[in-house]
Parts: sequence; C-alpha cells; structure tokens
Amino acid sequence: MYELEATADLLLMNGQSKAAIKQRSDEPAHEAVLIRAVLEGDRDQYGRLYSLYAPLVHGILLARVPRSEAEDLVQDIFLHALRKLDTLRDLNAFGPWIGMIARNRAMDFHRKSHETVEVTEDLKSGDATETKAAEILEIIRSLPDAYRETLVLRLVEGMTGPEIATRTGLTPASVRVNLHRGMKLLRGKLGFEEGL
Amino acid sequence: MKKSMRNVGDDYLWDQTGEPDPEIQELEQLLGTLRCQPRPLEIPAALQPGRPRFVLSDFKPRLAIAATIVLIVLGAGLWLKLERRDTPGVAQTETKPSASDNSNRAAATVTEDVADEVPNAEKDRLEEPVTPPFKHINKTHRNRLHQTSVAVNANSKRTLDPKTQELAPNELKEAQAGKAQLMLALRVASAKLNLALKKAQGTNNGNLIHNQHKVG
Repeated sequence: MYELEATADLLLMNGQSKAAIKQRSDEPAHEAVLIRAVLEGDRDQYGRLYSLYAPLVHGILLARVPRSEAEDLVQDIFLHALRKLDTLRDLNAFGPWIGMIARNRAMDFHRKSHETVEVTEDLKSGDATETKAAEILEIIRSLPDAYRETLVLRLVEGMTGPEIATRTGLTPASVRVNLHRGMKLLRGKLGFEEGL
Repeated sequence: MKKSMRNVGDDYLWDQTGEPDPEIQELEQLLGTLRCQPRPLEIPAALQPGRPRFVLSDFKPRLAIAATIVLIVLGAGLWLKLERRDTPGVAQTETKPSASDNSNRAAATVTEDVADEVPNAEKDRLEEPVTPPFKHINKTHRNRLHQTSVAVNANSKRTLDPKTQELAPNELKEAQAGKAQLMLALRVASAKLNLALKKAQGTNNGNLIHNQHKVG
C-alpha cells in the first residue's frame, strides 16, 4: 500500500519538485560552456567543473571503496577525465560520463583486492560519531548497487533527488524509487523502530 | 495520520522540502561527517586537455563520395595507361632502324661462316648482301613476352586490320632478310645433300661394277 502511494507520487510529481528539476536542468548547458572553455585551453574552468562534480564522484566511490581511498581516487579520476575530455561527445553529459569513469575505477580497485584493508581502515577512526557513521556506511554498502549509490549521494553528500537525477543522468522517477526502496531497506537493517 | 507522516517524510527524502523526517535527519547528521571535502585539484603542468577528436561517423557520406571519386579517377588513369602502353610498342618497331643495322653486321658474319662450307659454284650467288635481323627479331620477341594480355589482344587486332597488312619499310626489310636467310639455309642444305649424294653414288657405282665383275 505504502509503495503504491509512493508510485502515485512519482507519477503525479508535485509542482515544487518540477520547479526544482527545471532549475537544475539549466546546469548541463552551463557545464557545456565550461567544458568548451577547458577544451580551448582554459584550465581554470576545469577547477569549477571539479568543484561541481567532486561530490558526485566522491559519493559514487564511497558507496564502493574505503573512504581513505576515495579521496585520492577522486583526484585521479578528474585528472584522467581531463586527459580524455576530447572523447566526450555530448558536452551536456559530463556528469553521467565522469560517474561511469568513477564506477569503473572502483571496479578496478576491487580487482586489485584491497577489500581486506577497507573495513578495518574505515572503522579505525577514533571519533565515536565517525565510527558510527562508518558502520552505517558499511550497512549502506551492503545494499544493492542502485540503492546504495543513491542513498550515499542523498545522505552523505547532501544532494537532493533532482540533483542526483541531473548529475547521474538517471530519470527523476528512477532516483525517487531507488531512494524510497533503499531507505526502506536501510530502515529495516538499522532497526529504526527501536531507535538508533 | 500515519500515512500523511510517511508522505511528508518522502518529500523530505526526495528534495529536502516539507516537514523533516527525524530519522533521515539523524542519518544526514551522522553520515554528513563523511561528506566530500574536496582538496584543490592539482593539475600537472604537462597535462593538456584533449582536443575534440575526429568523429568518423560525422563525415561518412562525404568520405563515401570522395572515395568513389578517387576510385573513378584511379580506374580512368589505369585504363589510359594500359591504352598508351599499346601504342608505344608499335612506335618502337618503327623508330628503331639502328638496331636492325647492328644486326645486319652480325648477320653478315654469320653468312660468311656458312658460305665457307658451300661449294664455289654456289658462293657467288650466296655473296649477295643479306640482312637477317637476328637480334632485332629476338628483341621484339622478348618484348612480347613481357606484354600483358591486353597488349596481346591489341596485337591480334592489329593483324586483323587490313590497313596494317601493308608492311612498313622496316618490316619489309625484315621479311626480305628472313626470306633470304631461309633461302640461304635451303641452298646450303641442298648443296650438302648433293655433295653427299655424289659421294655416295661414286662409291656405290664402284661397288656395283666390282660386284658385277665378280658375278660375271
């Protein structure tokens, strides 16, 4: 019943959400201008792209690799993307493109079998809040791919649903479903009925 | 009531609007500590952003047209070259009298060698200046071996042409020389045959008489 209502909400998205999406839809056009400038040799504009998309790349990586590795990988991915920027056909699709690079890089990381280091390093931090956060992140990582990435972007990086949709290239409906179902699974795993 | 609370929570989860869901807020606070704090991107000086690449699919129709034109031009060029290759072959035979002159000298020496073996009666007739162009004939034959099938066909056409049946002066010379050489060879052969016959007859006659004598 609850899911049916959520689906109805998806189909009849309220005006506020639509406005937010419309506002965000201008973003790619702005990015295309930045990318063109970078291709023409203005490297400073790449810094602006970096600050716009670093949270997305960081979120995608955080859903897959240890936090300590994510920081360095973000830098590597952006440098790699700069080298390959000429291969980007649709200048409005920088977000989905760099997101895919990040996912591939995360897969490469696991191929090199660093997984044993991952858990221990994440749980090592002395601060109790950070330790708890790392534990919850581990639970999120245990969720299916589609849910964990969307949840990390929403809960860790603080992005809204429409933002996630625009930057990842997913449809808003898909993002909404992923958020809703992922949150339901997370609630179940965390036992929110009894409190944190 | 519970249902409406759920809807409010969904809105907050979706775009952070509406009444905040305390559970989600708590998660946001906790997980927010792991948020990306991007360091300034250090781009190496040597790293250059890539240039827009050449996308083949954008130029496919133009490339196809250009390729067709190039193929047509190449085909036409090849055809013209083959056509031209036929004409110089004829021109060469017409414009190389010096080669036949050289061969005349060689042929003359050959004739002298042969004539030594011929009886004196025949010598006077054989001492006519004959010009068998051995080298020239060999040369043209060698050229023909290297010609393509198209060139061979052109030659066959040339023989069918009634105009070309009238021999050129050089070709006439060659023909005459060939004829003379053939005649010379025939004469030498017949002279040798006559000589051999005479010798044979001479011995046979003696034997016969001798035998007759014996019988008689």
